[in-house]
Amino acid sequence: MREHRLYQADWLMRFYGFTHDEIVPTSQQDMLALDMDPKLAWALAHRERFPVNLNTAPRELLLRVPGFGVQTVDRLLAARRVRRLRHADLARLHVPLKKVLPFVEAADYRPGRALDAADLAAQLAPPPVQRSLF
Amino acid sequence: MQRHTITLDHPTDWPGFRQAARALVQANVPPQAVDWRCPADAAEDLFAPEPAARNTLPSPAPDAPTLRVPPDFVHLCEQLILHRDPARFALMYHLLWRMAQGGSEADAARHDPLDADRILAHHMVRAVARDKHKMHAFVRFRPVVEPDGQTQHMAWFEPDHYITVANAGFFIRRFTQMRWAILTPDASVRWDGQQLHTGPGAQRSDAPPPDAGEALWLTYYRHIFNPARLKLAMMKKEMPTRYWHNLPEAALITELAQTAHERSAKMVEAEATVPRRRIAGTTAPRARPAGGAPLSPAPPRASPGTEGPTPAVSSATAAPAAATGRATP
Repeated sequence: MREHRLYQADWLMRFYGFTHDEIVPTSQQDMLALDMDPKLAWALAHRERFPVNLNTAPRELLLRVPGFGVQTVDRLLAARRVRRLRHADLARLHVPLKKVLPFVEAADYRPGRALDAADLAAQLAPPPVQRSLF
Repeated sequence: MQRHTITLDHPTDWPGFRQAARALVQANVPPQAVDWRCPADAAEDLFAPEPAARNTLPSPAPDAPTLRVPPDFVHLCEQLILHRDPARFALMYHLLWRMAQGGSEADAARHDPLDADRILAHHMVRAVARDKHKMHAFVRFRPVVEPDGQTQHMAWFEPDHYITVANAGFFIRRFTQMRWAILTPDASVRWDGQQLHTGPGAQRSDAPPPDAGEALWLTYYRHIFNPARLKLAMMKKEMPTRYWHNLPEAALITELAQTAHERSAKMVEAEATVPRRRIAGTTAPRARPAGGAPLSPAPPRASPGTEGPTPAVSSATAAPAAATGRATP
């Protein structure tokens, strides 16, 4: 799992424009979180940067939304040249809606108070899996 | 509003579609005023008119501009026409019509990756590409010796879409030196070494029955099937079950999968076998130089008390005595 998180962190630096001091928070003794991916961990620690407006935000900020990959962002940018992006377009993009919706706003959608929830991390992190002893 | 009915020569009649669509767009005919027919779908259509000798294409409107479309739209349509859905012609014409309107409608049809028509078209094209790829993998030829002594390899296949003629190029490049034929319910293709011949659809009974070589293939398949590495979900993902009834080896899979678990358990429990130092059945052992140095490079062994390799044993009775110290490598 640590190796998986290291690969994810490497990917963030190469393709998503993160710097290393953004990924590794000093509060956790310079260790990556095991229970959630580094991008989601960063977004939860920097909620003041969200929600991101899908129709006006620059590419660098769109790349920081949890659940958005590089291909999704490129399709978004191509689509928003000819249309105003709405909530239904997120469904057509096949993104994980539960992860994405608290962090974005669209022409007909606002996340409201979702970002202020105290247990947002628990809601968004993947549920723990019982490993087998045998 | 006058309705137009266009009947194409065959289900993948791309030049016919192109000519008709060009004329219709230039005559400003909206998509809802056109009925697209082709002979394969006529049998299921309740409202099919009598087949006309020639399509009556409208003349272009006086103010019709020349329509330009992106080249990848043309490639998309060339693949899309191979799909089996009868609504493909209407979808292609609808996209073309929207591109001709200009303004935001044309921009959406040309450039919008989230446009509903474009998404549907891309799904259909991906289905056609997947079907072509599976056809590359699952066509099985059976040789037939003809009266003039030459061998013709014949195969029966049932593709999901009308891809047979479009896929013939792959088999020509792969089996150029052989004479082969692929029969499908929609069309058949035959290669005589020089030229490709296309023909109408055939039936399964036209294809040859299993030949003598098939038993060898089945035996080979049974022996390379590794029971310890069986992953049925992955296998069915790569080799969907709808192709199994035309694959000779698929009949063995159920039985092999059922016995896989106990076979691999037996492999785990079985005694370790001793690797032979020499192939059994060779004649005299070769003379060894003094000092016991090995003639052929042998892997370093941790066997106690022996210097150099012990002489090869080819009889099972002598093996256990020498092998007890080396049972686990």
